[in-house]
Amino acid sequence: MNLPRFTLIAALFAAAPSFAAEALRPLNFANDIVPILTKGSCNSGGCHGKSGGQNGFKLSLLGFEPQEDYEHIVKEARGRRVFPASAEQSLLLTKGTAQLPHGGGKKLDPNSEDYADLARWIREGMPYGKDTDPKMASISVEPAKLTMPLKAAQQLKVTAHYTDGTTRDVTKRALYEANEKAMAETNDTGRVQLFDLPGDVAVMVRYQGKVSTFRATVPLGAPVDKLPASRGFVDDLVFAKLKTIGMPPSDIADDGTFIRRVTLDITGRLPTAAEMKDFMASKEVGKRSALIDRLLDSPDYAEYFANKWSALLRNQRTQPMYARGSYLFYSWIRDSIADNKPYDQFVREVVAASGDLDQNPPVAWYRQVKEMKQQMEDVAQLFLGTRMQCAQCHHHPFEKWSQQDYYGFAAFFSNVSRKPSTFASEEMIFNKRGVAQTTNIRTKEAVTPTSLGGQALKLRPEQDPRQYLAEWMSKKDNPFFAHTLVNRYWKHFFNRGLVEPEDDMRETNPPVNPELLSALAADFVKGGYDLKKLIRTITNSTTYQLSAVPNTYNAKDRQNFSRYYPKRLNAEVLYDSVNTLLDVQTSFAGQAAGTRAVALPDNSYNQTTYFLSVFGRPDSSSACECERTQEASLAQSLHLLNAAEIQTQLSRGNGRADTLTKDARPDDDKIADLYHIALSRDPNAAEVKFAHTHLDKKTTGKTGDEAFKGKKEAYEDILWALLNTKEFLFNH
Amino acid sequence: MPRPSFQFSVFSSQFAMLLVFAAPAFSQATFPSPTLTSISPLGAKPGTTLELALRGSDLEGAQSVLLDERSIPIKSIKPNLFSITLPADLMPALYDLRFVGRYGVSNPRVFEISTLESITSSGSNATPDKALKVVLNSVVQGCFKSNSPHWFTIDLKQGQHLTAAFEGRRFDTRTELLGALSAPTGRELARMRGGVLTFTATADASYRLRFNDLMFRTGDDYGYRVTLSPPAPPAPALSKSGAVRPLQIGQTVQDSFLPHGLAHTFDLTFKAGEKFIIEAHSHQLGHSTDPHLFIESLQKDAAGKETLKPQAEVADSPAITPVSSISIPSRDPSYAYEAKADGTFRITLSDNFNTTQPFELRILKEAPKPAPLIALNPILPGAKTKGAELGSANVPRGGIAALEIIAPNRNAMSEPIELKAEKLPAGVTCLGGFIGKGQSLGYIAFQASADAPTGASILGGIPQSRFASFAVADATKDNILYRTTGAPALGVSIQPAPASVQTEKTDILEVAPDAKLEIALKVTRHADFTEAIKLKALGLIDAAKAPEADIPAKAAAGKFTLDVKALKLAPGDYGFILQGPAKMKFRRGVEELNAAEADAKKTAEAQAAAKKQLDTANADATPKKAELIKVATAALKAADATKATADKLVKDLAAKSAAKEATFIVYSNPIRIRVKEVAKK
Repeated sequence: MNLPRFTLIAALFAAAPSFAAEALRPLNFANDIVPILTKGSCNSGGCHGKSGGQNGFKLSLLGFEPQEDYEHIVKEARGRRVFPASAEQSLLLTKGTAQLPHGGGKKLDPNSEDYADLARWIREGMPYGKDTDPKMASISVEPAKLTMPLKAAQQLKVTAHYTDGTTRDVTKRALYEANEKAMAETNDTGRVQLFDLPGDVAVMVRYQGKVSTFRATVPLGAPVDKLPASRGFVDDLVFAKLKTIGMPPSDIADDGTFIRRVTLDITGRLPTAAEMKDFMASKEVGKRSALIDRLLDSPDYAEYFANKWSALLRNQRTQPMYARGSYLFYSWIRDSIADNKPYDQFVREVVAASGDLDQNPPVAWYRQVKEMKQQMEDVAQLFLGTRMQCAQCHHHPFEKWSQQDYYGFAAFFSNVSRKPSTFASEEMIFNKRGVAQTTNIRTKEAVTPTSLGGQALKLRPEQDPRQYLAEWMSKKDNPFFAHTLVNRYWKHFFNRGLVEPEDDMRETNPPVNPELLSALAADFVKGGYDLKKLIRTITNSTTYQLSAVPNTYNAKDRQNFSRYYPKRLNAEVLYDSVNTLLDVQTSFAGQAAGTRAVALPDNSYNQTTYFLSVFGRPDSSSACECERTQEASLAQSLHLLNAAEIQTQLSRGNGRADTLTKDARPDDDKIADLYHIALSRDPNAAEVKFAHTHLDKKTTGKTGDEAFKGKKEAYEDILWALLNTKEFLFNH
Repeated sequence: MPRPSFQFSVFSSQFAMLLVFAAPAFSQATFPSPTLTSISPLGAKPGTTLELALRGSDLEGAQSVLLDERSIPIKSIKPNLFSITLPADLMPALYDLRFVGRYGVSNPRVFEISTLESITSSGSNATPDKALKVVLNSVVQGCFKSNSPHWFTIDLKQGQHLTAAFEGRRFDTRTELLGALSAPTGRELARMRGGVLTFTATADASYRLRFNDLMFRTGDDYGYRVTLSPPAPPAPALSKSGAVRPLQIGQTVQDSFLPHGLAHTFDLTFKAGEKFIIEAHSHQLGHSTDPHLFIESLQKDAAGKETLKPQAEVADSPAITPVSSISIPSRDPSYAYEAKADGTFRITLSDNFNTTQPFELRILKEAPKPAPLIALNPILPGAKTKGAELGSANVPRGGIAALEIIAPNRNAMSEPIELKAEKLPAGVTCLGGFIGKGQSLGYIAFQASADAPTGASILGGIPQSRFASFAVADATKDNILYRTTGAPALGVSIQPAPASVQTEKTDILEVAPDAKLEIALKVTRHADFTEAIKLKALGLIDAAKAPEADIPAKAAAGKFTLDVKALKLAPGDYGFILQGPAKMKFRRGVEELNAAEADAKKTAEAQAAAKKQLDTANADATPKKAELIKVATAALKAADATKATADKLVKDLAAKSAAKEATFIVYSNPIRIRVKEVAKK
């Protein structure tokens, strides 16, 4: 790469007087004035763009409704905001420049081009423009893609393309935002400044409702001489990227690490000591694949992934009478996972659910998503990775979706109706006969069911539009459905989606490895939406089996999967793991003794089990994975260190410490047992010695009951120390 | 022979009955009337003698159980436990078992007669290593007393089929059974869905079966009985979409709904003057469906081009509302039509619930005869409890009792129904009842003579009955479960009625539409009942607004005024009944107390004899004196203890049988009125 040349180009872009040559061009309100207001954040949601406006002056959010803005600026309040006879005295300018008190502060520089254009527009009588004036069709950004060194900078040039074929440089009036703030920052003039993190970063460029993206690949440039053996297309595509950016991957994880990692990821539990020992002792070539198959066939897999889907499908118990429905819905999800029901069928059965809970548990989904809009928004976000909420009131700021798209998609649910169930507090769901349609609240026109980016459907009154939605979603060429799912599952295993957040897949938020995302999606579709196969593909890959221990080069890697990214055990898994380590049987209300926390049917246990809530078990109140919090907190640390619950479990009779104390085997064996259970590895010599020392300290000079008590306390201390180690708390 | 008409229902069958603030008569809470809350075991082989646990209330004076219509004697072993010998000629089937005792007959509980061996789980098989071994062609049964699953093992050979079927609420249990079959390694191989688990063994092995309640609920209500049999059930045939099918009046089409809510289409051609009823039957056949009927008038022009004009869209039948607190919706549509001209209807039928369940589309010339009536236990309007109680129908000696009768699928063209019942218990007469033209609700009344013997029978003439399966304290917190079964049972209670009310005239009372009708009432009081009675007319209009009759305290006569004009009754025949609460002091367990007092008297006599024996011994002058004193002292000690026990029992029973205020339902005989046509001027 020739860096000085790029720098020169960037400097030239920055210096170019974008609007100088257009001084005599008639101004058009939508094309020329609104962008100034947008750039100045005048029409942002925090200012005059919020629904009620600000201090009596209202603008449409981000200028999506220029006609309304024109009315507000020019005609409202008897036109007091603009004064053509003396444009500079106009309230619009005196407030914007803070000559008069302005809550938003100074937004305009009197010497700026923006100010000059606003003043000229007022002076010229505030023309709106003609119907025949060109409309903006799109924007483009140059360069669109670039490989850049660490810490480099790049000036972007943004061009607006109009319907008459003309173009205009709008660099100064466009808005910029990097998707990875740790990798790059932007300024108002379109300059991108990289930091010292390698990988991919995208900069979203917005101008008048149109979006474009600049993507920078930032190589580390380290030598990648030797790559581990590829086990399929996942590795091919990950390693190709690593080679491109010059980032050598970590070594392959050892067997102990692998069995712990994959058991936790697939089944949400620790491997037993026996499982670990058998696995370590096995000399079979394909033992890792065999283990993956065994785990996928176990009920534990179904329970763990049912837990995930139960939360996403809002299986909430918001009142006691919902218990039965929650159990039924959870059971249906669990059985679907255990049966490896094709994902498209699973989704269809939820989205198009009809009838009574008793016969068709997925109708429980409609219990929490009551309204048509909510149903549509959940489906869009959960199954299509598309956040449509913004488009309800205005054109989506980061996306192409308009209100017409919003209401067209919502119309799939326009005939969903309810009648009282035979079970108190529950409802039966059905599609009411009639023409499926809803009304675009802005145009007041009827909108019939329309898939995202598709044509409006004309369905007969007896046809259930939800069936057509399900069909559209599961079409092989659907650009959203499979991509969203594989990205969601990728994140489950790697703690980082190919797109982040995993349910915000848009053009302006590109994947870090687009080829891999497409390949995974294509393979998923080709495989008949087979979820177990997808998991096999991911977990059998060398990429998944890389060590979490960084090498010289990849410690800072957060997005290229050059190593396994450790993740804190989630609330339920950690709760179960602590209980496993302490040999404590759980007792949840309405569950069999010993039921794992990952097998709980709904959110109601969060209130009764503080551990689960403090470690961020989701409340199932949204379709967003973000509800599950993985952040560490002081409360979590204190809970593990000091909580009475933990202390009681450590010292209880017949618990781990008690049984180990009674166990006549040598302490070395028992210490090894603890490490096998907690960490799936043998303790090293120092760890054994340390534990021994502590045991001796607590028992030396004591006999009988005193010695027993001392030894038990020592084992409690060792357990306590183990469960507070990062090695235990994390999957790595 | 068991009745073939035995119908099972969960929530979905026959009618889904919704009680908003429902409360069957609170008389059941105080008036002694046997109720069964659970039975154990849930089935047995014919010809066996077994101990039958019957739990519930008012189960004193056990005489027999009714297995459907068959009466089988039972013997009390200890409270709630009875010995029964099942006749060897009982046919394998599900039966309604009802207790019959001093206070009449109880509600039914399902009991299975099966020739299969049964294995009963005590609950100790709570972990896989304690699994009970079971075999094909057997029954496993048990009750969840703790929140642990029940484990079983079954040996199967490769290729062998297993069907494990749980009949769910057909057994009147609250259990919603989850089951799973797993390999010895723990891998799940099959799961129970809709009460059925099917599996074909892939290898010779000892497989594990695990059963638990959906929500791990426990108690006597959570029993189960699972049949393990080899054949796999046939897969249901799916209906295919086809062309428009022609239909004729009188024809019935049996088919299944199309998937995804798609519609079947039919053309029905009729002539001017023809009357017919279009009925879809599915929900009332026991399926969880919501049939939707759309009718269009089809016209063709000379070129054969079809034009469709909407005629009617019929979804659920109108809910039947016996009283304001109870609603009985049916999801099966019904449409009656009288053709004024020749024509054709295009009928489309779909299932709103998108199932592929069966349906019947019936084009009836007239309503079916006899009407498929359904008996309900009487509801006392105004009862303020929120839940539901188990009900049973019993006539007190010298009193009147009534059953509510529902006639489904009625429309404006439906003819009146005279309510009659046969096969009555000894000493009981049927006073009849009436359902007016186009109406869905009526009452049938029964009167027991003052010396009617206790007993019970299954009534003839009313083919079905429906009842709440479980008592529910608060319907807003717990679901009321219902079951529809065969004909209702009627019992006779030894308890005399406090009062009965009869009209002086029992023939049809005629009244003009703008007039008031005064009906004289005769009140027969029994025992010490002297309280005032407030009666409400049921079956005429919404019970909440129904007219009332007040009978003063101690009065032997009263008057009921019916303001026909105010009630806006259209000309026609109506039937109703007067019903109301009556409070009086009532003693329970008097018979037991009397028996205990008699026993106590005997123990007192025995004690006196023992004292006398000791006195005699003390007075003895022979060498045997010491021995005699020892024996007499021991006898006296034993007599003292026996008397103390007997005295305590008398004390306890006396406390229990203390007179407490109780509420009874007082009924009148059925009343018929005829609102005359307005005379044309």
